[in-house]
Amino acid sequence: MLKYIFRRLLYLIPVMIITSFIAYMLVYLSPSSPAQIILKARYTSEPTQEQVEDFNEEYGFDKPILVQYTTWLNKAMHGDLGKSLTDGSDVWEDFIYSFKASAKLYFSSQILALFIALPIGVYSAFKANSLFDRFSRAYSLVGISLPDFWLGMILVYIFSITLNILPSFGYTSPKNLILPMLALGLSSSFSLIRLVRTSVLEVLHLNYIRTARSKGLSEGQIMMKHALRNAMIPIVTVLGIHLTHFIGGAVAVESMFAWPGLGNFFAKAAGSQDIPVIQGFVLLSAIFFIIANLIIDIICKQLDPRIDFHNESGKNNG
Amino acid sequence: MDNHLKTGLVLILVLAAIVFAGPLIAPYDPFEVDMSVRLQGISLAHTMGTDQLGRDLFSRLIYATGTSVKISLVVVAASMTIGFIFGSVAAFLGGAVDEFLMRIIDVFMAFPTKIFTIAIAGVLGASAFNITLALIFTSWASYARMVRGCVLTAKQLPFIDASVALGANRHYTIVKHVLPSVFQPLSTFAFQRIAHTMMAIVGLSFIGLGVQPPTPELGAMINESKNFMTTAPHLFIFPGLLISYVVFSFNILDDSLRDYWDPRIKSELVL
Amino acid sequence: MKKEKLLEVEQLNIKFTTSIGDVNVSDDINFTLNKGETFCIVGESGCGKSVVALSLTRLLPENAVINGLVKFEGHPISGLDEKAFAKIRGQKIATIFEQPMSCINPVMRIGDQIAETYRANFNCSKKEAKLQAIKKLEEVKMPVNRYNAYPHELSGGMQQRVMIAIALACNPQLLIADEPTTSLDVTVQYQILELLQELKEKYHMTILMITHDMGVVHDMADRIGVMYAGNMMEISEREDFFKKPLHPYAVELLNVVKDPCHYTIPGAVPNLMETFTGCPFEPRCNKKTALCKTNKPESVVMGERIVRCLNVVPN
Repeated sequence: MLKYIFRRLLYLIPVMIITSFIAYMLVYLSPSSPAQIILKARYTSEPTQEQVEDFNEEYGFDKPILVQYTTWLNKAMHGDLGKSLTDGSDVWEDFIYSFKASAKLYFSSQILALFIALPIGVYSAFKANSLFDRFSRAYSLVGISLPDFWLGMILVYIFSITLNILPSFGYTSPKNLILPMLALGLSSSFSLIRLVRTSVLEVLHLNYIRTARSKGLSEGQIMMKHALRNAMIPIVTVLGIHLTHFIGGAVAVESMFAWPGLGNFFAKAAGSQDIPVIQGFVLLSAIFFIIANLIIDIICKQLDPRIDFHNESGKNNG
Repeated sequence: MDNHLKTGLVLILVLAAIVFAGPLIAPYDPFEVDMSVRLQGISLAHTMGTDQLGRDLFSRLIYATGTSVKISLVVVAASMTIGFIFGSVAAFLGGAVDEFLMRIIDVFMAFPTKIFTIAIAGVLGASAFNITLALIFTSWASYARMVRGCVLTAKQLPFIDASVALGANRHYTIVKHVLPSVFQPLSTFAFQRIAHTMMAIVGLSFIGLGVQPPTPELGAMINESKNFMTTAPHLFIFPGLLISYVVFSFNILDDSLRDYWDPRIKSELVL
Repeated sequence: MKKEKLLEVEQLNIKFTTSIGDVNVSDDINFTLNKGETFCIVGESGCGKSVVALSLTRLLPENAVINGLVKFEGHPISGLDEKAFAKIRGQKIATIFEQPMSCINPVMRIGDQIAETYRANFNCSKKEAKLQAIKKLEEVKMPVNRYNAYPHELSGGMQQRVMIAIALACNPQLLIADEPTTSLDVTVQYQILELLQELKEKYHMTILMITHDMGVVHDMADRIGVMYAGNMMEISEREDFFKKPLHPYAVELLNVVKDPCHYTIPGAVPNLMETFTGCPFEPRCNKKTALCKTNKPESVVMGERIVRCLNVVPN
């Protein structure tokens, strides 16, 4: 087990080097050079040739790309990702701040989704093809077709504009959390209902459920000890993948509610071509994403003893 | 054919009509500004009202649906092609080539897709073309991985060895038997991705990184409507309903096609 | 000596409702199990023998429609509600299945699965159940230190031993064994059969064994029932059966065993979705007459034997 984790962490090194390289090189995708973008942001007009050259010299942009990259990477490893071009704030600090905001919103909404989806999905699978099942299937099929940010707008229209009982934006009071959490939670619950239903239904058809019945267990015991326990494996995997998506996954909802989360922050930076923020956020979120995937794999191993780490070449699925 | 499948097909046909025959249906020019009728509600002249510039919402919605759906189709078709080429080359050649291509795919899969898409769209500059590029760039890897898996599985099927043992040319056998077995899962997968891609596009346009005004696009239209939520709620309700309609049609068709291809009857008869 | 009856099955009809029509897998089946005997139901794949066995403990999928009377120890159990039936299932009638790998829970330690059976049927402490599970592991000749193993860590034969330990956790009176050795290696098959025989004698169990392997029948059976296309064609004592099978189908089955390399029964098992006006075996039968196509044979009792064929006349 420890050996496996160690090997996975070792495997992270080349991935991170490539990831960070791509993150850094993103800038060169742009039709204009970093100097042009940065100076334009600074002086709000097209920079002169002279200004560009001065700038390149000052920030090392005249050096070969590899040198620039290693300088940036070296600083990054010491926790210095540079400063935002728009407001001069520290990129690392911005990331931590918005990470916390995103985590708060996303975890609460996923818990809400789980509370909605588990009972509905399990009951639906248990009473497959019943009226309840048909209804919940139709409900979730319609539900997954609703964009989360639009669901948020509907909620705002009802609770903020018409009823005027909940704030439509802001971050400070716990009340601010309710609407975005509802929008994201509801929106995730629809696909979760479908996932829970199919996972449980699949397990219910397996032979060991028949064995459990032949042992004289009650339906409740079969459900809890055999069916759910096995169905949880795919559910936890997908839920884990959902959780890692909170970096960016909730961007539209965050933007809708002006929630200071990662997605919102990043989208603003991307919109204004704030290069240090883009590079830093891409790097940090990729690292987070990879580590989160490793944790999911370890949890899955706990749930499913059949997974053999020794025969697996340490790949992660996004 | 069951009712689900029929419903799905009808919904898709209607959608196809909106997308490809849109200009014929639309009663107004979607770009025509008329400030004298701005922010009007539903009326006989304007079935779904008008927006903040007095443009006919119904006509704009028809064009907007076309934009969103066409981008989704382009993204899915392009990623599918790239993924197919990458995946099958990796699986067929195997060895070092496979290892190298898989590492590339791994790196692409190691990024949180949304962040990566936003980053690319951001540095390239927000436009319909760039968002299409960014989405293709971040989505082809999963197709490649899927195709590779399918080819590898199919390559190992006993009948391949059997026909080689019978004297068939190995490459010919693989091309003739393995490739077709990839197409069904690949098309199912691609079909699922249409709805998903559609959601990504409207989401990105909603945050201002996708299609730019005045081009009508569903997500961008909702974004523009944010300032008029109190006075003109129809401006965000109608585009949202249309997005849901499009995504729903693809989802229901996807669901029923899967049931159709993998009928329950099989499992019923296994005793 | 009058034999004591443990299980009586009368007029058992089972059909599956599917979206393409009904499938009749059991057609007016009657048989009894005497206490302490091993009764083997044989037949080709797809003749409905497993379905009959699973129907006795209501383990069939929900689309199965079961009609008929089943009596256990003289009491009808076919009409019991689920709650009352659960007391019999597991505790008095246990089942082992083929393909043990798929029949034991892959994410639960095997010892816990044995203990669970005991705890589900007897109100006892976890510790007590664990002791019982260890005892059962010993009885099926498994090393006790495998208590904490997961199913995938065991060989096929070991998995089947675990399956047997789970089934026997409550010392049931009747053990239904549905093709218990089909997916195993030949050498392992023999060990499992020997184990079943040993445990049967130790606990005075009755066994209802489903198999298509005549070798297994020969080694294990006291009495034999031959099934074909959902019909019970013949029921005989072992000696009589192997000496002189009565039904043409039984004769053919034994012919195959005598010369497995060259002899096959011509034709194939019929599709159970069609209804038979005559004898279902008629198309493949080498003793058929004109009547066989139109008249359905009734079961005829001939001493200890029961036969369902128009051309076998009681003498």
